[in-house]
Amino acid sequence: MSSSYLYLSTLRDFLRLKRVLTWLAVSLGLVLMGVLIKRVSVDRPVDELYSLLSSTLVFRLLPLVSAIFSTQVLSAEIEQKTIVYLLTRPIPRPQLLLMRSLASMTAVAIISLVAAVFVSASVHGAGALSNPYLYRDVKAILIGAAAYGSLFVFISLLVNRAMIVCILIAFVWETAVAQLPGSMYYLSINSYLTSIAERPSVTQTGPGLQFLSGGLSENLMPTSVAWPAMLILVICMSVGAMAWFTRFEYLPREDAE
Amino acid sequence: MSDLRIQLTEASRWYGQVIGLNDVSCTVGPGVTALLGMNGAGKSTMMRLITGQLRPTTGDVRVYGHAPFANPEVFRHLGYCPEIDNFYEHMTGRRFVYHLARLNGFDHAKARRRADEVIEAVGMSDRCDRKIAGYSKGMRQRIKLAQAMLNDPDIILLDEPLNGLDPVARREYIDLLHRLAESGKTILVSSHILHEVEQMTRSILLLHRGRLLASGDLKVIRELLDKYPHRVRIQTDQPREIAQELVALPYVLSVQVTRDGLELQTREPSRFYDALPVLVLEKGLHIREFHSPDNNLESIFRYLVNE
Repeated sequence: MSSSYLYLSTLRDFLRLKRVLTWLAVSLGLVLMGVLIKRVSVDRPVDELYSLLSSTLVFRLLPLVSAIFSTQVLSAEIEQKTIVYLLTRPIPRPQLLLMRSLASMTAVAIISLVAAVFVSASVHGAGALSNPYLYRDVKAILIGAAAYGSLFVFISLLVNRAMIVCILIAFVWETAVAQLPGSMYYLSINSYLTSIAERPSVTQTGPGLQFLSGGLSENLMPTSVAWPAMLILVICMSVGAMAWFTRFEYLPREDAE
Repeated sequence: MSDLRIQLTEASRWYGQVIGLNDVSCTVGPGVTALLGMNGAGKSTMMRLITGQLRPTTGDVRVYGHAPFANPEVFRHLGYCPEIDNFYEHMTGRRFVYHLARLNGFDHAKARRRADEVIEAVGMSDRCDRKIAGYSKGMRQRIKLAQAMLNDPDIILLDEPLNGLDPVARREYIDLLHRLAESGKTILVSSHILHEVEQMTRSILLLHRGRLLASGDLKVIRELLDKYPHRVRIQTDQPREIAQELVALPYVLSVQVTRDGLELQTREPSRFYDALPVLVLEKGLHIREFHSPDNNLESIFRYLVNE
């Protein structure tokens, strides 16, 4: 019983009106950017345009939202010291972490899906929901929310000031590493998500957009590799985080110093 | 269940090179027990060990025979009121207590009912629908106590619970603790304010620099300290006459005449307190008032830590 309450109350906390309005504003900003890019790309096919906008905007937003929300799962509670109220409840620690992580992943997925629909609307107008690539992106967003979420929760348990580290990973690592030569792209979650989304390739863009969309690299792994790799990542990170949290000792920072 | 609800056996806790708790062995049973010590004495470390937030580096900590670290079974019997003044500030007091009741495993109806009960018990019924962000320190302390009582625990640990309470609220809080203790609960209260502890209990655990200096009844502990003479101050208009009688008693070490009476030192306070009324009646002496400055915790604490 406390599992479902824990999940729902955490989700409700993540989706408080103030936060939802902030992310809605961000999504509307993406729509605006989409409309502007569409205006200057009149010759580009709509599917290719959606692919460009999705990879440049939605799949940059996904790790950013995940970095922010995942670090709220525990490290915000630790920073605010309210973790003590959670640790002294009769809830097994793995269950506590799992339910809060799932709530965070759900919130990230909802925000990213809304953003994807908005971006689709900016390209397809009223036919946004009949865009077939949107549904491919839905799959990638769902597994992406789980992959980024489990990775960032794990990191937030290991390091102080986890949000900075996670945002650096979300922006710098995820943008740059996938486009490095050789097999480095295997170290980027975004490479796997690009493969799962199966978007049409984008041609003839400026170098800035091409870099942001991950289009500088021709590396693309088969979907049959991407899915199991993401699932293994989610399971390993989640199990690792739960194992670590089971042995976690809470000591306020000023006491530790 | 055993009466020895909390048991520490040679428990030590190190933070890197710094020792937080040093080889402490003690048991705590029903009633109010005060955990006394100055800041940094190890009170919060001991609380965190008992509430399973930390593990002992060496030794053993047991609550009802179980190791408390991350142990949900222990938390079913335990309520904890932490020293921290941090809350989910956006919540109302009622919502905060209800939220923690749900995390205790209560369903919606039971959580609401129980939240109302404990909020009423701590005297917050009329203010619990305001956001915690706007609460005074005293209100925050009461809400913290309310959440600690949610599961009707056998053991309640209160870390510096009287901080920030006004005198009336302190009295009410202490009365509430006495009522809980009378109902058979084990209450461990940490404090560094000695006169407050005296109003709560005579059963103490005295910590200093991580070590347990003394444990047991306050009066017994005082009597054990026989290397320190016990002082008694007598207010009288006949200091010289009384002094003359008192120096003849074999267990009176010294007598000193003061501005409004006299002060004496004795190694056997019980014998002295038995003899004084007899002496007064037999010799027809007049005494306005007498008291001992050594009968409070502060003096015992000073003696024990040699300060």
